[in-house]
Amino acid sequence: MDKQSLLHKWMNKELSPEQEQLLMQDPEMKVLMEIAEQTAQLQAPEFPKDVVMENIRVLNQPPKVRRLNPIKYVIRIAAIFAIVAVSYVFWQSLDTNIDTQIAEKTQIFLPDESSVDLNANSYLTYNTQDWRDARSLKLEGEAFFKVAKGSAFVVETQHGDVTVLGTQFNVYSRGDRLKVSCFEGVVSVSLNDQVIVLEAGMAIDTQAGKALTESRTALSQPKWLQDESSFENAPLSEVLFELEQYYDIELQLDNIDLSQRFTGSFTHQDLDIALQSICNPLQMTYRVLDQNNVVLNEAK
Amino acid sequence: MTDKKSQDHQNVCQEQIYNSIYEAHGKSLWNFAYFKCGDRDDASDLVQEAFVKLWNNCAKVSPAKAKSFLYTVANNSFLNAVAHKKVVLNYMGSKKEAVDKQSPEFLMEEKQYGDKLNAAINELTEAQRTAFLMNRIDGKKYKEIAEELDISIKAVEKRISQALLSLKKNLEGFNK
Repeated sequence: MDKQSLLHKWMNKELSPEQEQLLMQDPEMKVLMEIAEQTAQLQAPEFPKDVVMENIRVLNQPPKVRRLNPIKYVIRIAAIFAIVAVSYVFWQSLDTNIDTQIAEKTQIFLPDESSVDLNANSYLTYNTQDWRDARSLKLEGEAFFKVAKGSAFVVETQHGDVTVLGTQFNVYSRGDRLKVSCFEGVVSVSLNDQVIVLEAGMAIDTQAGKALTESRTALSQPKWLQDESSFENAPLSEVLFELEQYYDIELQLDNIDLSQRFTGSFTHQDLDIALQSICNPLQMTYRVLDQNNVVLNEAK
Repeated sequence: MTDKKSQDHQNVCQEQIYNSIYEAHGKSLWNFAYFKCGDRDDASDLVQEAFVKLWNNCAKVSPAKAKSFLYTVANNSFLNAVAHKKVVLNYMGSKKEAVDKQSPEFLMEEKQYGDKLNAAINELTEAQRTAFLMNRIDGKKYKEIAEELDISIKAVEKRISQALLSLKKNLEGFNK
């Protein structure tokens, strides 16, 4: 047997001590055997057995599968639909609110054929759902109504309700004033303690629930629909109050008599022209300081 | 006959069997991986990967085939991931207890020789080193090494002969 084979046998621990002695006598084999012996003295680092096993366990864990319970799933979808449906119904039952800012006018078409022209700085609220049962709406400010024929149409204001059966009329409810003008049909105005029936062409002015004056009007619709406010023998305070509904201004009054009477009209389109329309007949002067500040002076 | 049957019944998917395979071959596989790559963390990764693959294929691999499956997977993973790294093995050193009688000079010489031997082992090819250290450190017979490396016994002999010659060449001139 050649030395290489013997060496391999020795490496496999298959040689007898005598054979080993014999092999050692070969100097070349002796060197190799010594190297092999020295290497056998080496040690591999310690196997981190528990750490590796722990990692394997974690990696072997089956991925968590969340089974969707089909009933749960259906319930979830149903819940979403329910929420949508409920919010739709709720939203439907909410009052419709419309308000206009100073100098803003708008027209609203009600659920029937009726329409409302809402004047500046006014607030209107009604309920679309209830409209078929009761045509009723609340108003603060001023609006012109064209009411389609049908059941009673009620405009609720702070100081009284205006009830009609299909007509055209104007309601003015600012501060403690309630003014109603009827342009077509018949309107009944119920104040705190009395009911006033207005026929076409009639108007009523009330203050704090008390009737002040009844007058006739030759107009076919209120002036403000043509962007004009008109007054007859009205106190200046009322005129200026009205002016502030159409122009976003701060009025500074310098020695002005607010009780003096004004007959005339002013436009809603142009502040300068409006101020002239008011100041010229009353012999006043005005100065527009900046966009929002206007000073009125008694003419010298 | 009954033994063979019960063997067939046993399945690597059973945790008990799986754990016993880890007990039996975990360390040996880890050393094998370490001899190849020379890095403890890489060796642990290779072992983990091999055992996880075994778990995932537990229905297809019989307990008898599990060992060779593990070595094959570890070897393939090594070739795919770690082979390109420069191998620097750090052995824990000698198994021999330092004996009091030995002189400091002798201990110094011992250490120098150990360092030199480590360096020489690092110079071996991966194939030579793995076969050689499996025999020397793990004390495995050529037959077992041949099975685990999936090569012939002749090939194992050749690798170990080459390893010894290479070491001898690199250790030449060192007085021992």
